[in-house]
Amino acid sequence: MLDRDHEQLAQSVAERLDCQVELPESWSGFFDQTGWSSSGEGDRRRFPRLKSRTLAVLEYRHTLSSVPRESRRYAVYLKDVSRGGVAFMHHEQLFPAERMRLIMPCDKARELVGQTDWIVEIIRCVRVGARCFEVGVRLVEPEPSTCGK
Amino acid sequence: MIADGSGTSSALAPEGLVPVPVSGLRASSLSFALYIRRNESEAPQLYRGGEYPLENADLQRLAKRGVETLYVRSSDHATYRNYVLDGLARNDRLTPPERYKIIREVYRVVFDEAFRADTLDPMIEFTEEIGAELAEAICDNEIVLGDLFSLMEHDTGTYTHSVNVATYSLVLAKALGIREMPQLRAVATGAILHDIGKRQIQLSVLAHPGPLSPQQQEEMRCHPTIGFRDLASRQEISSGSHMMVYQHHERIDGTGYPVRLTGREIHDWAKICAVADVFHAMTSQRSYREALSACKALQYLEDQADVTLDGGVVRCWTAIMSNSLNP
Repeated sequence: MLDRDHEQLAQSVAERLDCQVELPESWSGFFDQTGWSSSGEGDRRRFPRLKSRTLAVLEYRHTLSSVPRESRRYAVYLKDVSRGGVAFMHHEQLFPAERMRLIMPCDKARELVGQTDWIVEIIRCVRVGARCFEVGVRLVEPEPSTCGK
Repeated sequence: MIADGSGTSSALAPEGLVPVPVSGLRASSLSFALYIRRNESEAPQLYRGGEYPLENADLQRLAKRGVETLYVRSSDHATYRNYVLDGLARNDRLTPPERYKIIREVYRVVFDEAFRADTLDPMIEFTEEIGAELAEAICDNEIVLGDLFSLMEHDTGTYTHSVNVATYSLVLAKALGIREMPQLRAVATGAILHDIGKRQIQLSVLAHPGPLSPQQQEEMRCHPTIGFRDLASRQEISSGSHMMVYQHHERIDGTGYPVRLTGREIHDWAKICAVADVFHAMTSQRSYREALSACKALQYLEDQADVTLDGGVVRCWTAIMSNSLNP
């Protein structure tokens, strides 16, 4: 039950935050897509990805000396979730090896990865539009402050 | 070993010994033994024990016989390196290119060992040391790039590429107004490390003869990300050096990788490294093509100015090279 409360809280926080992502025009059907993502040829991902197109909360942490970060929260668009990682859309560049907190208000995500509040590590970041970067992260560990809830 | 015309680069060292250029030795007492190889089929023999000083007459005899390379025990290499660098500091008769050449050769062995090591520690240590030496050799002197260019090796070996890109980056950084030595050292560090991510790319891809397949290209394109990630926790490396590693394949029009950044989003030092990297790649011999002349490479850079490469950096580089090649 607490988990469900946490998800609702995350959802409301995400909705209150100003999402600065500008999806490319050609992605107009982004939020309508559901189901499993198909793997392309040479796809080396370990786990299948579930399309989870919804708002989530990204909380910055300062973890690399070469990349200054202030602790802030942003709304991001989840793209897909797998057992090992998550892809989301963000308005600015993130750097490999940065660690941040990602809160996913998403039932489906919880089914796949056990819980929705994670410390994640940035694996890759590619621009897809002027203010739109696709960010791939690895799930490192459940956010300690919510463990056991 | 008899002169091979290429310093120590092609000398195949017997086990436990590392080649050292005779040009780095001087008449003085030694605290390491020197070995000589009289011909390719014989094992090196003791030439001079560490307790005996090297005389001018010895150096003259070696020169007369065309011996350019001797050997030291690998366990003595750090002592040898300190001896050479100490000699460089005292010798004001060496020209800047001679000084540069000795520094480059003395660190080759260190690089090869560091690059193969399981951890990055030896590589970082090496980079800081040679970065400081190169910065001083190149930036403390009014060095003529044309002189350096003619003595540089133009192959795509990792050491040659790293040191040449660092050399070009330093010359560029200085010409673009970076004057403080700590910053110049950081530029050298970033340039030497710029391809460090290739340590984790399969050799079959790195040494592939001919153009890469799309999958091989994809793997190769991971090297800036791998390099940045591997160095990410290193606080002794400056932010600018990190960005040289991560962004040297970004292009100002957004066609680069790994992020597809544009214009001002790319760190200024990464723009410097990009020009140095492209210039060295084009003027180096590949398994599938001859090295291009400096003039042709400069023409290509000019075509890319303000298109994919920073125009100010390219114009600065073409001006330096044009003056150096046609003084």
